[in-house]
Formats: sequence, C-alpha cells, structure tokens
Amino acid sequence: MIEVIIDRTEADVLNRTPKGFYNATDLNRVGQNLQYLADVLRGYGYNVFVNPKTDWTITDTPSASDMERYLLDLNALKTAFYGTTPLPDSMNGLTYEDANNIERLLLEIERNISNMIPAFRHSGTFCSGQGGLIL
Amino acid sequence: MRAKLIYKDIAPGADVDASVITSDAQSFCSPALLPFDTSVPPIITLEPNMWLLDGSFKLLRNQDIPFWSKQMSDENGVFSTPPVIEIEFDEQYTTFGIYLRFSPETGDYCTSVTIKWYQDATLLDSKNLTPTSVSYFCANKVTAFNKVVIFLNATNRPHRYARVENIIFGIIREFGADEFRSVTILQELDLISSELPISTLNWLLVSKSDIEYIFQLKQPVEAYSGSNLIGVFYISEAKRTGPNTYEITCEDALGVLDGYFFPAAIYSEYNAAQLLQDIASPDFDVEIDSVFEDVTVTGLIPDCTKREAFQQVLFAIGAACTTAGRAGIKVFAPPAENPAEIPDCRIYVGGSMETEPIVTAVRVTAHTYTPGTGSAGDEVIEVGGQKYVHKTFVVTVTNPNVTATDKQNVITVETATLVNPNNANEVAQRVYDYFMRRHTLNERIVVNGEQPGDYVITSTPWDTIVEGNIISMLTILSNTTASDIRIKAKGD
Repeated sequence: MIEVIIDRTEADVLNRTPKGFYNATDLNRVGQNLQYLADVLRGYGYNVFVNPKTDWTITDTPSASDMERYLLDLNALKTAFYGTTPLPDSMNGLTYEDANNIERLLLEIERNISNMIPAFRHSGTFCSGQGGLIL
Repeated sequence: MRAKLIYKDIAPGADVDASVITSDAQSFCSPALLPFDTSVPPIITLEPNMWLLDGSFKLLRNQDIPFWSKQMSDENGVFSTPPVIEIEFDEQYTTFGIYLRFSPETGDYCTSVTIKWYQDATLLDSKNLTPTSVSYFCANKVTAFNKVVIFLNATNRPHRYARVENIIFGIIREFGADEFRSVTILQELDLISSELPISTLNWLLVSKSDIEYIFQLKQPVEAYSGSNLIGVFYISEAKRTGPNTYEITCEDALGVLDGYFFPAAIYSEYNAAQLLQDIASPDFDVEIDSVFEDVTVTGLIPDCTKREAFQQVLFAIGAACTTAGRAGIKVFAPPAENPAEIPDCRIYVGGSMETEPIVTAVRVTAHTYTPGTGSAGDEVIEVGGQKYVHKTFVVTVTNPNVTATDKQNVITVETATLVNPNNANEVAQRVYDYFMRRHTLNERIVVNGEQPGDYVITSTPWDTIVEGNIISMLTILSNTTASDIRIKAKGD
C-alpha cells in the first residue's frame, strides 16, 4: 500500500502547509490504496467491488457525484471487511481530521488483514475422522 | 457607534446595461453576473493547494459563479492565451475607473490585467495593471465609453483558473464622521399607504482628499450607524460649494421609482406580489410579507409614475412599505401587537403629542371597468387600445361617536382605482380605523435598531404610556445616533 498521510494538523491548515490542502495526489493515493485493499480482500474471498478513480489531475473539478462515489467506495470496503474509523458523511466541508480518518481507515483495514492472515488454518493442519460424523 | 456613509461612485445603470461577452468562461459560470455583487463561496477544485482542509470548501453544485477561466495558468501563473472578458453597453458612460473583485474567499487574484476602453470601434484608452490584492481599483478617468475589454494575463498563484466575481464601473468610497457634516436622514412611512413618502438623506461632504467628485444622479449612498445599515439612498441633487465641499441630496428607492413612468393597465385578479415586483424591477428587489403572497388586485392603474403605481397596489391590499435598513423595498403588514419597549433611559427630555380632529366619516369610492363602449352617459376610458365602461359607487363608514358639536370632517378616497366592489368595504374600514388613531407622539430617542413601522411601547413626558407604530424617524447621523421619532398611537 502507498504510504498514507494521517498526521495532518490544525497548524497545517492555519499555516497553509501542503498537508493542509487536499489535492489530486491525495485523491489518487486513496483511490490506489482502496483498490489495492479491495483486491487483497477479494483474494481472500471477500465480496468487495470498488471502482475508484485514480487519475485525478489538477485541472479536474470534482463533482458532487464523483465525491459521493469516492465515499461509497470507502464505505463499501469498510462494510465488506471491518473497520472502526469514522468516515465523513460528505466531502462538503472536509476538515483535516476527516482527511486523516479516510486514510486512517485504510491503514486500519490493512493492519486487520495482516493480523487475520496468521490466524488462517493452512492445508494439512486438519485431520479427518477426529470425532466428527461423516454420513 | 461609528457612523459612515458609503458612496458608490459608479456609473448609474451601467450594471443593468452591460452585456458581458466571453468564450473563455467555464460552462458552469454565469458571466452576466459580473456587473452585480455576487460573492462566491470557496469551491472544491484540484488546482494545487486550493482545497484547504478548514471545512469551508463546498462541492460545485449550482452556486452563482460569475467567471472562472477555462484555461489554467502555467507554473509561473501566466496564461499562454489570456482569458478575455468583453463588456458592451447600449449607452455611453464616464467613470473614474474600474473596480475588480477577484476571489476574496480563496485569496486568488490576477497579477496582470490589461483593460481597454472603446467608444464603438475607437480605442479611447488602454492600461496595463498589476493588481496586488483580491480587490483592485484601476483609477483611470475615461469619458463616454461603451465597450470595455479586459485581458486577464496572469494569476498570483501557479496553475490557477482566473477568477473574477465582480466588475464595477466606478469606485466605492467610504466617508467617516471626519469628512461629512450635517447628515440628516428622514425616513417615513404611511401605515395604510394613503401616501407613499419618499425618505431622504441630505449631507455635506468636506472632503479631506484632493479628488474632484462628479456626483451623478441615482448613484447609491449607504448610511450606516456602526454596522447597522440605516438605509440606501440615491443622489437626486449635488452642488459643489467650495474647493472640497459638496452638498448632496439623496432619495430612497421610492424616490427613484417616482422618476419612472408606469403605463396604464387593467388588472383582473392579478397577483399583487407579482405586480409589485413588476413595478419595481429591474432597479429594486421587493421583499413581500408572506401574508400577501396570494392576494390579488382588480381594477385600473392609470398612467402614472412607478411610485404612484406601487402606492395603488399597497393601498388596495392594506400594506405598508419601507426602505429602511435595506437596499430594496420591504412590503409588510404593520404589526399591532408584541410592542418593543423604548425605555426611559433612551428618551431625551421633551416631546409632544399631536391630536388630529375627530373624523366623522370615511367615504371610499370603488371602481369597476367593464370591457365595451357602454351606452349614452356612461364614462368610457381607453386602456391599451381597449375601451372600458367605468362605473363607481361609494362605501361610507360613519363614526358612531360623533356628537352634535363635532365639526364635520369626512375623509374621502376617490382615486384609488384598485378599490373595487370586492374590497371596498374592507378598504373603507381600514381607512376609518387608521384615522381613528388620532394621537401622534413626537420624541427624541437614542436609536437601538428601531425602524419606521416598528410597533413600540414608550412613555410620554407626562408619564403616560403610548403604544403604536413608528411612522417617521429624523436622524442626525453622528457617532451617537439619535432620532426624532413620530409614533402613531394605537387607540383614540
């Protein structure tokens, strides 16, 4: 997964540092990470289908439906797997905390997937006929 | 509170006369809004470092956006082909310059602008400008132009669309108490619109700058006490009385409407709110109390001024109007309950009470207009090429408390031609009720947001209590705002 940004602060906004803004690069990074995690989860049998846009450019002006789609995809990932980080209801009035949460969710899901993998039972670790009834 | 006058030294009528032509605006923009005061909120785009995460940016929906260029500036903020805005006028105008407002909400502006003034095809003047903020005034007196072409050459930040919210042909000047003298504001209204008084602002400017002012008719002047807008007035007369001294007389929106002709028309159950809007447009917005939303009018408005036409409608529906505290006109039903108190601590010593003679009766003439030529002896009028038979009858409301010693005093209303058989009784009763309010209290108060029309309760100098509507405020504007008010008292 591409390294996320989850440490935006109020000072970034007040001082107008690059992290205080949401740019095309942020949307693309989130889109790519979202697609990556959806692919990983599908590989483990999860029914998650997303279609994030990952080619935003500086000349684009995101429409309301574009940004609705963006949040729907994030919510689809969260619902299909598991995550506790809250997502904004809308991209209208987005704050630095909302932007952090979007990527914090992706990081949380990635970590949960990582924690899940060692718990899998691998082939050959089960023995047949150990007390179960086979009709 | 700090008092101030804001003088919009603009070419009157240039905004509504302007035709904005550009092929360089984005599809969601409305360049026709450029001459008007439109504020654009922060809108989400992906221009580098535009979408600030402070919660203020909104998605593009249907906001009014006058102008964003299609093209984006390069890494140096320069446009390879500058966006062009062309503004044409039917009339010729003279101004001291052009004021540009770019994008105050985002801090974006153009750092290089070229303006060319034309009279038809003749280039009158050209200026290359280097604005340094989101609002910029290009001081350049040009006489009798009817076309302006504006080239937006560069932006203050790289990779930006050029944004322009407002183009004003002239400049906005603010005068504080150190520059104006004897500012007198008279704001009046009539509770039943039996008259439609014009409110006035008279002031003397003793300018501290060497600028020579050319005060033009109908240029707006806003009067403020602190941040409270007292009213917007329009220059009706200006006289220079010294090197830096000017005497200026202004009237409110109703005074402006009095200068426009309104052609005669017959109305049949026409929506009154719509008719008021029709009369005031395109110069003024009318805010109409919801109680009048579905009220209709029937009858004639004869050839008259727009102000007189406005009055005909107001009188017929029982509405009052005011221009106090706003740029447009507010139409409302005068309140008669829940009075606001004017406490003794805000009332100056003195004051007086006027009492009108007893009205013995009110006679209101109702009118009908039936298409056709009628028969011999009928009064026939022609409106818009159509002949109508005009008939009248009189509704009388008599004062039952008149005594033998009371002098006859009959109020007659004959020329209210939107009074018809359906509303005549109601109108007559309203007029009668109004004239039963015989007492008018005059006193001077320290103003705390009071406006003409307000329903107030206050005390007289002899400690009786009076409840009624403010019908007049005479304000001498200074850093302490006091007004001589007149209150039409409730009850007889």
